[in-house]
Amino acid sequence: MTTWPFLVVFVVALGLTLLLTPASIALGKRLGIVDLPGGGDAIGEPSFASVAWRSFLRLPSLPCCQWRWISPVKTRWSSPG
Amino acid sequence: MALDLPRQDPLELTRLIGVLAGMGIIWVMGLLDDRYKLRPRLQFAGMLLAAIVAILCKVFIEVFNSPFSGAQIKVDWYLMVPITLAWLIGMTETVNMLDGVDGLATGVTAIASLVLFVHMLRLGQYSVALLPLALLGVCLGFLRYNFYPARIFLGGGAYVLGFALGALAIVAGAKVATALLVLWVPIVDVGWQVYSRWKRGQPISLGDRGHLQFRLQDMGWSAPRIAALYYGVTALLGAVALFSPSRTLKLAVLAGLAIAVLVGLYLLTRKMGDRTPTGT
Repeated sequence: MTTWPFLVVFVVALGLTLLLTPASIALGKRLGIVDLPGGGDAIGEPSFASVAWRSFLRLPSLPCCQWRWISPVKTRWSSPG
Repeated sequence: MALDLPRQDPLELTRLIGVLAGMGIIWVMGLLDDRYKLRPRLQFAGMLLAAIVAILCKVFIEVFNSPFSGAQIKVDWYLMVPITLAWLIGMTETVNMLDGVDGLATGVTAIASLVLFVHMLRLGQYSVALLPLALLGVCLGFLRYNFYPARIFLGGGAYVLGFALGALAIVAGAKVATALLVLWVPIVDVGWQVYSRWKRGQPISLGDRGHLQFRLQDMGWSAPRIAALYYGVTALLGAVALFSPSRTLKLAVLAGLAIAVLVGLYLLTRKMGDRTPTGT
């Protein structure tokens, strides 16, 4: 059995995640969907950019869904559990 | 999987497609849940759809070893389908509920992936072993940003990790006992939450801070300390799953740990009271 396939798969998976996660964080913040620590301890302040971006997009409120955001000024993310 | 590794299973590609398709469906559902707050019914529908797609692609629990005698038990389709659905949805929810403390769900999934990887190598399932190895790489990469102080949390991504773990545990013959043992603490915790919410008439899908990790946090434990506790227990159980030849020992560990966690949660509930629902 050769070991190089294992090395290749592991390094590619690790490397891509290390490279792409910062971009995902930036994009998620811009769209206002980055999940933050839960349980009521964590209070996140949505950035001006994300609020402006959401206002600009005028995202629809579907009947089956509700916004996670409670207030456009101050948001408390609750626990995912 | 054209990486010069021997294959044992002629249906490997079909099963791989099933795992990836299921993960894709779960990913879309998680993204929608992050963007909109999906109702529990819709979340469940997404998980159910992903699990059905996986089953249609031959990712199911058909044969497993009896924990008592070691004999192989083959189940018919009318048992196989509900068991597999419960397994995949249960694992998805279990990892999702862990995602509330910095690095917790990611680190635990990384350790579980490592255990599955080693287990598959020992069974000679070299080509399939690449899947948990890839999951391990992804988790370690994400942990760089998810560990304390976290810059990002998994959110809907926790569903993907949970589904991936559940599917990888059954993609090449059921390794349910190994996965159960490794994730036993969060599984027992989820069981306790379901029971206690039902008991006080709270919707089961309505989240609160009753989970063990949140109760420890409310007692003043730091996020790295909680993560270290979970990592240690998961690694220890993984070692037992991999290296203990005795089925009796594994069953004793499962039973003993379940009793310890349930007693701990009961005492914490008595001391701290029920947790206020958070509305999720």
